[in-house]
Amino acid sequence: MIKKSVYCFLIACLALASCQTESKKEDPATTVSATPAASANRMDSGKTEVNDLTDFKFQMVISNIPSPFETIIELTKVGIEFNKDLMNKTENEKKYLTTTQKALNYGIYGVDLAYLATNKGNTQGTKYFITTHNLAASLDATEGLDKFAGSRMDGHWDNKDTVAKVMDEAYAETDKYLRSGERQLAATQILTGSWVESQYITLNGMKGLTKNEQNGFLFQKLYEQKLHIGHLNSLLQEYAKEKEFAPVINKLSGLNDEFKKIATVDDLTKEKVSELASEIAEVRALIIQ
Amino acid sequence: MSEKILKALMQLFAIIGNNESDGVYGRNTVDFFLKQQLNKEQVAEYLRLYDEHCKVYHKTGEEGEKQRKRAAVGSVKVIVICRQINEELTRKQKILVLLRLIEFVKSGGQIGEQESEFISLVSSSFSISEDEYAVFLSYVLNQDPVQEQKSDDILIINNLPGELHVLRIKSIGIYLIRYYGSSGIYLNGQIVNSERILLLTQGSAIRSSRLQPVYYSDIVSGFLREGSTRKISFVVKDLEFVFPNGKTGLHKLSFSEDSGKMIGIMGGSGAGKSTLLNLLNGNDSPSSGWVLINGIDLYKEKAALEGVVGYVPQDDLLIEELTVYQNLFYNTKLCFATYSDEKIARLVKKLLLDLGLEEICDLKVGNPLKKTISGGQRKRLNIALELIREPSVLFVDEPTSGLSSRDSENSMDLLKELSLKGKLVFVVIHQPSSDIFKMFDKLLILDLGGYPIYYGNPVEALIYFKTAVNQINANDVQCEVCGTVNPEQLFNIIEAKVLDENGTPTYTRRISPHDWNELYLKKNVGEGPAENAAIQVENRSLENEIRIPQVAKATSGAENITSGAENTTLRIEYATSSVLTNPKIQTNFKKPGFFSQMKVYLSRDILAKLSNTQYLAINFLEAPILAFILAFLTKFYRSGSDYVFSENKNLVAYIFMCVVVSLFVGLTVSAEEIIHDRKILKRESFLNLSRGAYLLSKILLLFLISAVQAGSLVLVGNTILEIHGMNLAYWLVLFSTACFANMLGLNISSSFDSVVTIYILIPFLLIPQLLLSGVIVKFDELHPALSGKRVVPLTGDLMTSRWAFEAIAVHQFQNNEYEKNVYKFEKARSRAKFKKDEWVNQMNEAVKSGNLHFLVEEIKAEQEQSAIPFKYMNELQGGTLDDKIKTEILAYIDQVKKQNFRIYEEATKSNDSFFSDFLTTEEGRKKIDKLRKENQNDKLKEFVTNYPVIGDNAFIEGDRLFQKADPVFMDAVPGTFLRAHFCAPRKFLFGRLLPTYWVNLAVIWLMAAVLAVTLYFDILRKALEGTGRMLSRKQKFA
Repeated sequence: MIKKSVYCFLIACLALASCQTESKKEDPATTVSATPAASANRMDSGKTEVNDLTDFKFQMVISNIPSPFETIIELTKVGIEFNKDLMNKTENEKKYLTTTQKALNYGIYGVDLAYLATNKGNTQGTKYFITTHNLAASLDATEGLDKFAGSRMDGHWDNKDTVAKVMDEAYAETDKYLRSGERQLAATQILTGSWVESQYITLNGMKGLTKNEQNGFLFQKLYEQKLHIGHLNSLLQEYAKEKEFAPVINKLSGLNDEFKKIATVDDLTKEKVSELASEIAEVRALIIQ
Repeated sequence: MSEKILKALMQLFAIIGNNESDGVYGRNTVDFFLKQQLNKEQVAEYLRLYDEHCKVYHKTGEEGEKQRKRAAVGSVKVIVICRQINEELTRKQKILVLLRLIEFVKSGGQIGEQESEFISLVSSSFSISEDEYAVFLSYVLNQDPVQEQKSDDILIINNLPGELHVLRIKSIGIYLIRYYGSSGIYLNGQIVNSERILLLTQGSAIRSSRLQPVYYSDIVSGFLREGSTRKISFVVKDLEFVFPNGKTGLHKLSFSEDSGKMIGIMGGSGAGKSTLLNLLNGNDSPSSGWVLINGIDLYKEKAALEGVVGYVPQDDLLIEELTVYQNLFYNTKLCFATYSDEKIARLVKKLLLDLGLEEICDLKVGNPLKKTISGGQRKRLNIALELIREPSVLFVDEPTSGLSSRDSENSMDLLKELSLKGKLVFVVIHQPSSDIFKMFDKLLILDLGGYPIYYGNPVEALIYFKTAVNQINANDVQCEVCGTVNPEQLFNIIEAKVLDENGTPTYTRRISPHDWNELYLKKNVGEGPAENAAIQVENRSLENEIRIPQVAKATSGAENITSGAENTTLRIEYATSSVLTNPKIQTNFKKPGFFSQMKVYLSRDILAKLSNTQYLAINFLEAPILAFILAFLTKFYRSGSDYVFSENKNLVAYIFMCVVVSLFVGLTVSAEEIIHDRKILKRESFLNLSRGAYLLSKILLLFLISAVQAGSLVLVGNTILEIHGMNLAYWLVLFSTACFANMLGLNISSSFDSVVTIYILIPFLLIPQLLLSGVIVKFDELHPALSGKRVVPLTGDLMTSRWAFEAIAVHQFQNNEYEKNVYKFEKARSRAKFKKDEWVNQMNEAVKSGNLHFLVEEIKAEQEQSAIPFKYMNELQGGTLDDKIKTEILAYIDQVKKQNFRIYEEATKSNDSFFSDFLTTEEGRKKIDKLRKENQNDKLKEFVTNYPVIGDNAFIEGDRLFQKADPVFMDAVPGTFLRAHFCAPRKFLFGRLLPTYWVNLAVIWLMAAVLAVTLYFDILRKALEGTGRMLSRKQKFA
């Protein structure tokens, strides 16, 4: 359970760190972004200024979207077995060279890390953590992670209690750091990556399942994604001109259209699930390529 | 002598024998001749043969026509027989045959025309020159000394009852004596029959009751007249040597000698023979006294005596890898700058022919363990190295040690011949045979502790010591029959021990070295028995009588050079006639210029190395084999997948090991170089050759070898590990590292005396290079006394490994085909990130805590770097840190933060922009991925970016904030010189910020240059010797 809670917290922090805009200004250094000058210097890699609508949409998505980890954890309840082939390989990390690639895949790996935690006796936790850390580092989002994890995790990677405590603090710090950075695009990309990966794992797990009493809640959760992808799609349209991000946005837009076709939860037939799984796999393939 | 020759000689005697005579004298002569060669039975047999031939050739009653025919047939037979003799007898033996023939013919009284023709025919068949033959014939046949043909080769000693005529046969170097007189004189104890011609052998002495002995050397010297040879005077005065530990190595010694002598130096172990030799040859300087060669001080005016002194030490001077010819050729090239290669080749070939070494001239000399030439040949070749340049004074240390008696004699013959050519030869000798002992013209005996106890004629030495201990047969020193002497007797007497009551020898000497020395001084020994009158020698070719330059007592008018200290010094006086003060000593020696010397050394060394296949194999295979092992072992990839350079986890280890291998290989290839040549160098120091030229040749050759080794190391290693586009950069650094190691190796090779010491020393030199390279132990994690955070500690900066590794690691990371596109963006991002995060936090903290100094220093530095001015700098520097200033500082920090945000984002955009061009197509994605996989190594990146940083990413030192992460993106701090943190991309050199790669290379070469200076001046050796002296002095005082 500790392991699960660790990953749960990790993903929660990840999402928070990625998505939240600054809400606190604790020291003079962070006041910079609140000033007009700071607005002019906002650092979205694609835009120099984030408009209020985008900001509103972002807040909307992150306030409504369920934690990707929640969906993943549901899979274990209906006995869907862990499938390591569903995770993105850690070796791919070095292929991600641009901020867009890194942010999207940071989201992917975060969910993979959580999914990994559902598999008892796994030995790849450290590897996936390092991969996640590396991407965070290249996104300049590791200050908290290094500050807390660096000295205290050293030599205690197999001690889950230590990991839990340290990661708790580390991600709290990361959250604070990212919020001070006003990096909505990167945060949106991380959010997108984590949503895609969580749905990819879920849909692949649900493939071949027919709705019944036991797994009905799972189908319900999937049905609810119709709303979330709508919000996400709406947010992503703000970034439709981002050259590198656009293909992913387009694909997700197509997926959104598919979800729109689902009128009730009962429309999620075995075939429909399979169709959605194929669609999400395409989006994911675009991200992890 | 072979049976065939004896038979031929019997025929010759029979042919030439005068048929007019009764044949009795002739038969007697044959009988005498045969008795010298054979036993009784054989003599009878060959006499019978002679008689039979006589019957055939001298039939009585033959008619004139028949006799003429017989004479013609005889002539043909003479020629045939002489041809046989030519092939079997030495020239010396042939002269004796001719002598006996003439005596044989002469025995009949008148010599007929036919006999005369026969003898002349024999002479020409023996290749004896006509002039020499004429003098020889006149000398042998003449009955009246007055009518004898005048010649430079006849010396007459006429202050005897009668006259003693000495004939020199110059071409062979033998001397014959003929006595015209009635008084009994003795040659080596045998009475000399008047008119009987005898051979004067080396070491011979002619005595008579009315004559002081005339020695072989005196006679030989008599022929060495002014003008015919360049004369050298060698004066030793009050020479004394005290070792640094205070022990006396040589007690005061004075003597004087002229050219044309061979002087033996004998003594037991520890008597100081080698010490004396090293003093006399100028190798060591005496504590007091001096040596003058033609009036020139050997120690103070070395340049004036350049090439005059030669030295053949006991050890081999040969370059084992070269052939006999090459050894001599290159040696000669160093002696005669003006000679062409062809002339030198001719000289060398002639000398090799003279020494009987021509057959082995193309054989490699080899070493004593792996013999290709014999010990005697080695020794002769060693001597030949000096013979070829004919130094006026030659010192030879134990030329016979380890040689067979035959080889010993051959070697000594060489030296004797040199002395006969007018050179002065000093030979340290141990246990000489009788013949060798008698070869010496003078003998200097040293006793334990460096006491001189005898100087004079060798044979007389036996008499002197026998007399000193009251032996009854003191004068009986030579075998009456064969003339053999026993030099061992000398030391039996000198070192005789006191016997205890049981007759067992004790450890106490009967006569101590000091007592022998006292006795010697007391008896004022000069030349054995008193010589109150010089021998008068007449050379009839000259109008005036010539005195043989001869050692004589002071009473004969010689100068006493030690008169001031008679009781403590050895008083050996010399004839004033032999002291020359003309400093001009002619010598053919002319050393080549610096670059010519270097060229000779270089060619010699290259040839030697090329001919040593083992050396070549080891040195040229060592690097690639090590590279193969190294690269093979570090070629990491997951089994089942293909090797990917970027994923190799061992690149750092590989680079580090390449540096270590370069250091190791560079050290081992050079560590033996100078010690290997030390003996040769010592001898060549007499030639006053340039040490600089020698060292430069060594350095050039070693650098050449290192270049090849580094090249093969890089080619093999980098090919296996698939390191692209870096070969030249790796090679240059590894080559430079190996060159540094070469210089280090040469220094230790020049400073230590044994190879074992050097090889023990190598780990001591390498281990710090490993530990302080910054790879095995981080510089900030060393012992606190040695560690350094901001810059590499000095201990690290002294290590070549650190500079070499850093140069390659930084260059490999920064300039590979992939990284070089984005390095500048990553660098900007790294710096901006640090500024906007750690710097801002620390500055805010400092404002809160009121850390004035920190704020001043950081803002000052920031103003210089970012050009954002801080208006209140003066106030801040003045110590004001009130609320107003704090607010301004916070605003300033905010400005800096904004600027760095902008920089960060712009750099990120540029970085993304570069990649996004590739990412639009599948082909582009593959291309950029391939580029990364082939060029960018992840582990190396982690190393040079210090990723992940453990703990805080910043630290404060000296009121400045420094970054721990990304050292490869941080240039050296302004105001520094060369020094920087580890893996800095650029460093300051004379105020200019230059790439680490080139700066580090410059540092490595600077280190090598420093070592070149220490090598040239032999500073390490001198320091070691100085320390040794200091310690021994301390011990002495203790």
